[in-house]
Amino acid sequence: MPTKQTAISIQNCSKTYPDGTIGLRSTQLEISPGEILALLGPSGCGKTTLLRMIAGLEIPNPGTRIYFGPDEVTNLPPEKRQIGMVFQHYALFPHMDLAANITYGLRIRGISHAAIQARLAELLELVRLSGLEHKRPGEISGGQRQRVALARAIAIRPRVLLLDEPLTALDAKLKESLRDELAELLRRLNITAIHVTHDQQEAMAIADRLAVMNQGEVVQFGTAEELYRSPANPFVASFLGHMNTVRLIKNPNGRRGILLGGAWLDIATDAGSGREVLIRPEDIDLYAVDGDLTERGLGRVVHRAFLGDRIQLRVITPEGIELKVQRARDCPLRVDDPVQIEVNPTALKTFGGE
Amino acid sequence: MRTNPYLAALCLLVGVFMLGPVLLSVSAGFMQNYALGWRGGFTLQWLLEVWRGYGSTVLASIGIASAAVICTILIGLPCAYALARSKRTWALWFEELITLPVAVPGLATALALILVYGEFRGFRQHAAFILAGHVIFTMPFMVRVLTAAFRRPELRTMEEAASTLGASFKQRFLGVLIPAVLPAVLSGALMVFTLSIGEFNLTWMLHTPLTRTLPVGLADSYASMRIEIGSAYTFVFLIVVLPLLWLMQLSERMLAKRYAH
Repeated sequence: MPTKQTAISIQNCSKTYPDGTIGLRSTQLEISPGEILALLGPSGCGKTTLLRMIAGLEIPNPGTRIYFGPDEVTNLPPEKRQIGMVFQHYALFPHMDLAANITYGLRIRGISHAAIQARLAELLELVRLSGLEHKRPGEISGGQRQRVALARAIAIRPRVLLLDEPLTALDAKLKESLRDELAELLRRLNITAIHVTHDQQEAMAIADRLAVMNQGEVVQFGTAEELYRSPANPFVASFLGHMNTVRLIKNPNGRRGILLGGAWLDIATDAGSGREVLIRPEDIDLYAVDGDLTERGLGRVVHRAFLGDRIQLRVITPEGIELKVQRARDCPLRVDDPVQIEVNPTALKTFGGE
Repeated sequence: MRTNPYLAALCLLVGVFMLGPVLLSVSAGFMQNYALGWRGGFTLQWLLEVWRGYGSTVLASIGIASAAVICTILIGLPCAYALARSKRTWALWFEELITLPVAVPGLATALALILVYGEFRGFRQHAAFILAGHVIFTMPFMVRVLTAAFRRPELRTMEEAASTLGASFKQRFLGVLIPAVLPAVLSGALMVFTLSIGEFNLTWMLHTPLTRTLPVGLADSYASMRIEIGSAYTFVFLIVVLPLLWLMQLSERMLAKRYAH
């Protein structure tokens, strides 16, 4: 399916609601043609507001400029923007069967019956719903509804595909399988897409790049790996995966570092000048205490949760620092076991006020 | 689950209390002489007399009720949509305002109509005058039901979905919104039809000897005819109205089931 790919340029985009609430602070985003971008953030961070402004469903503050390729669409109503949108609860038309739902955009445009039927067959094939076209939305499963919503959105070959929390309405198990399926489908469609979600796993699985949002602004923009490995601030760090926060101290020699179970850890001078150190749970190693004590710090396991593919432990040190640690599922450590703690020193990063 | 015997007895009691008078009244319409009871014999004479004297009121009532349904739907749909989408305070005031005819006695509404339109002879003497009164009286019921339907958040997103798919306002309203609120339209229609067909208060003030509805005719027969004729009239009313109501209720239920998510 060859689609002309469209770049999206969002300039100085902001939104203030009539009651004075700020929905979005001035935001700039450049999305390359064919790129899949995730807007990721907690609820109320402005991600849906931004998506709705791109769709034309919300009117941005004056000064905002939104371009699809060379065309400015800032003042166009949604029906003139040539977009496809998948809504959180799909918003399928309950009185139409699946075929009528999927072809709605085509029928509105007065396309010939034969062309519509051909496109319908193609779409049903693509989202694996062939044979169900005469069912109604009320008669199919949640996962199938999600696929109908997607087929309906892409039927008109939109310039831009917008997805508003497309997997939220599904249960956990289904969500995971549909997530990978959606990622694969979006790649195949080769269409510029913006995907709003509060689920970091989902964003990482589907998007090429992520814009992490918090309190009405984009706080970091980059690939999942960039954001995970070098988060720009503690919010991004703790939003993408789990994080342990440990306060920085100075030792008598004036060096900055952390004291973990009696063992001193220097912080490299290029690790930043913040007041806190963040450590990812997977960057901590634990060893059983078996006689030959090393330089490693000591702690005690206070909690152990078996998560199937891995084990999550909570370890407390004599200094009162509690650490979340993830180990492989064959980890023999139990609650109350004393442990040696080792932290990969290159994984430490500092944040916080200067 | 086992039925509670006390509850069953209570239900029976209420049922007898409500249906007893109706059954008694209807049976009186088939007696030669109510004073003698069934000993006087069975007859269809009163029924025929009612049909001869008041047959036209049956058609008039069904006609007015149907017209009231059509008018309230045509006016109510855009009105309810505007109310549901408007965020202004006047919309709330307006919503309260159109409910007034329900609270104000029908006689007062009728008097106001006569004062305003009494001069227009053709209108005053036409069944359309009664229709106007019925539309005013039943409109709030239709608008309330439809406003609630249009306010449902899923309808809002459905409208947004249609607009992202390229539908103009007209296409969205006619092709998506109206079909989506059809169950509400039908339940509103059922209510309007029921209220209109049984409306007496207002109609009694508005009618002329040539524009009589079923309830007005019923009042007339009770006041001026033998009790057997009035009772036979009640029977006519029931056999006309009940099947219509059942039919509408049935289609409402079928539609609701079809739309169920």
